[in-house]
Amino acid sequence: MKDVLNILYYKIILFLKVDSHFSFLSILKSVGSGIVYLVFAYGCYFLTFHTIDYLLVSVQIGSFLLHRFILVVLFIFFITINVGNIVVSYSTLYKSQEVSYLITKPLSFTKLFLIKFLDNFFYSSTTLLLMITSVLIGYADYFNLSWTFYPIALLFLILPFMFTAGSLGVVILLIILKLSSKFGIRLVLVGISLLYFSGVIAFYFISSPMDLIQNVFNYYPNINQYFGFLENGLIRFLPNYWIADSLYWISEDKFYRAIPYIYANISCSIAFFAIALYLAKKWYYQTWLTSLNITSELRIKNRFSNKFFRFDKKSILNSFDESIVKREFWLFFREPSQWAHFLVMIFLITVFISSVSGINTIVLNEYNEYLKTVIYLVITLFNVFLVASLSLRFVFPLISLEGDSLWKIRSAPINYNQFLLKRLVIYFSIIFFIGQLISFFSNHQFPVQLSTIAQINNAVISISLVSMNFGMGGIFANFKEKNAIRLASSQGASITFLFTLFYLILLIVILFLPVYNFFQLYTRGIHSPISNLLATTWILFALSLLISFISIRVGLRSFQKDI
Amino acid sequence: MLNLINITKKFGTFTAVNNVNLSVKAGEFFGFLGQNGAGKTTTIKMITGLYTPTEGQILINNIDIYKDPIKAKSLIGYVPDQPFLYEKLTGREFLYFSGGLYSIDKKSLTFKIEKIIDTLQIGTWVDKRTEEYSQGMKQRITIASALLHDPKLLVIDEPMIGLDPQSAVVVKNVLKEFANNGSAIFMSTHSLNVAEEICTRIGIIKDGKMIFEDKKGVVETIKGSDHQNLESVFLHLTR
Repeated sequence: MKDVLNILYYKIILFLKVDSHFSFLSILKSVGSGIVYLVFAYGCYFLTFHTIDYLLVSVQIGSFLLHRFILVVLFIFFITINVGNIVVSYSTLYKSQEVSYLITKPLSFTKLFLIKFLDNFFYSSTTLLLMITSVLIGYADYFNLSWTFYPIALLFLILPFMFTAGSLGVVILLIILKLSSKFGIRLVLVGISLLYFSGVIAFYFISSPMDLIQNVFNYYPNINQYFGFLENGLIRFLPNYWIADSLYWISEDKFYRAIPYIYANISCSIAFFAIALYLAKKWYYQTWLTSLNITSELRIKNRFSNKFFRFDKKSILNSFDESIVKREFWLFFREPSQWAHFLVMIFLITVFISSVSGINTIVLNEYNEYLKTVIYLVITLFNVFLVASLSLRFVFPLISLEGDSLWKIRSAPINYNQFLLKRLVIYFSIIFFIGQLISFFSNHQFPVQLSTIAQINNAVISISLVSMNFGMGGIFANFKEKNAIRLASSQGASITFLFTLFYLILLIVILFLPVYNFFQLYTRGIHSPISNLLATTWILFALSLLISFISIRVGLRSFQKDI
Repeated sequence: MLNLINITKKFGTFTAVNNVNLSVKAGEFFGFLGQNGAGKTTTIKMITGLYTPTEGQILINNIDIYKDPIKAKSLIGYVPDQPFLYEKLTGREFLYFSGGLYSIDKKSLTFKIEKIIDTLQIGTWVDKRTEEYSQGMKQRITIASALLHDPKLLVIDEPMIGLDPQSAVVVKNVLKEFANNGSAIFMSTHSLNVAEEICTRIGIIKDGKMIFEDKKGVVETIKGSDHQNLESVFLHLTR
């Protein structure tokens, strides 16, 4: 264990040294990041406090249903960490140069696995931990819980819960790679993905939230009691249930009823971690070798040819533009983590569009203006969120991905600004097009004035979000990192994401009143002037112009520094 | 062809290159020598536009690289010490990409690529992705990409790293022929026997300052001498 501690010690030293490099810019960056994190933390606290207040006081759903709502949120949280760990662990456990280096040292594979697993877990979970702590403060403040709640909730509920999700992630990854050596990576990936999706769908069938709400509301107004008997028994075996129920009993001041769940939660976490270590001991080195085979196998199989983008083929573009477009095409489609992630995101977008398109317009017209406004704004938020996610994943890493090969661009007789802007235009065009499709299919059921405005707003917002990610990617450029996923989950990316959330809040503030007024007049059959709605677009346009101008300028400047 | 006039580069309080003056004429093969950390790579990065000098001026064929970078850079070919390439492109694709950056038309580029593949003897693996290349293979692709646009000045940082003996001979011959055809080469190296063998003139940098610039054909004298070699001169000067 001494060798593991030795490596972890130097990892911490490395981390501290990186952060203690003092220069005006680095201090400014750190202070700025600190402020953004603090504001974000406060935002989470504020949102949690007021959401609970709204649900319990205004909607009066009762404490039991509130905690079942938390149960569903925790499930999404679990899946996020789990999938995140599967994807990122593959890079850190199998593709990192550090592993190749440490593997040559007299260090057992289990220890190596342990180091990289902890490294990965804490690296990718820092922002989530910050978020969850703020949420817990909001929760505890609402229910007037004592200070002892915080250490208990963090150490015995949330951390073990996240650790279970992370451990399960690497267990799945080990199994995928182990099976790949027998059945081939493609077949195994398809099989495991189907199983995974079946599991997610099964959870919704088992928990059936809509049925539960209806059954609980049969008892209205006596809904402030424990309705555990209305639930499917299977759900009691899930970690998110243990957390949600623990919180329920703690908020009811019956801590002793939470103890069995806390015990189960910690035991489960230890068990999954032990399984991960056991499998690592048996399979890690073997699967590491398998991953090498998979890489070379895919390299040979993936020689997909596209005549149109062949470098030696003539093109209508000038030689400079042609070079950029073709290079971008091949670098994207030969990097599995790029196109695979893109496909997953397109799949999720398709799911979103197909479910939103199904909103019944007749039912929609039955709602009051307030609810209609909320539905419209939620859909707008999701649209923007999807555009933001695409931008964060594919535009934020753009500058960093120039990486070690930057010498070629910087020593060539070209205008860097043009080079970067042309690259940006490629990604912007794709994201813009997807954004417009999302907006069209998810807003067509609303009155034509609103769907048109949504379309224009989406276009304007796409410009600013893509620009913002480009600029922030420049400020936080890391030319040593080749992995786009790690870049898109770095500290800089987290801060960019927080900025996006502020932008979303601002969007709601700007849109709420004009949309609400529109629905009020529309319901009464009064022709509503579109000018009020257009005013919001003008505000967004001005804001977008400002954000885009500053961001692009910052992004371009970052490329001109000494390298 | 290359003029460095009072070049200084500071990183914070540290001065990496201190008031360096140097000139390399067309047809010259200039060897830039120095110990580790002496300022060789920093100087090269300033010549190729990767670093901005804190003070001074760099002229490529009388064009200031910071005032007219595009024109100046079109005259330079650059081979860095660490030849990082786009891993997902093949060597040939990388050559096409490089040619595109120098606006070479497709027909002429294809011809030049075929020629350089033949000259550097890289045909057997040029269509593999560069992620499969050894250091020496990457080095040769980088040299090929630097020669595609017929530069007037070739700037090379440690060209022999990772090359096997056969490849080293090929590269040395290509470089010698390049200089013989009237272009200038500015080469940084630790390998004193390579410098002695192929350079026509040398300069030595120590702690950021030029401590020796061969203006009287010292290298040529050493080559003709049985009692002296570049190593002894270098060790004496950098002591």
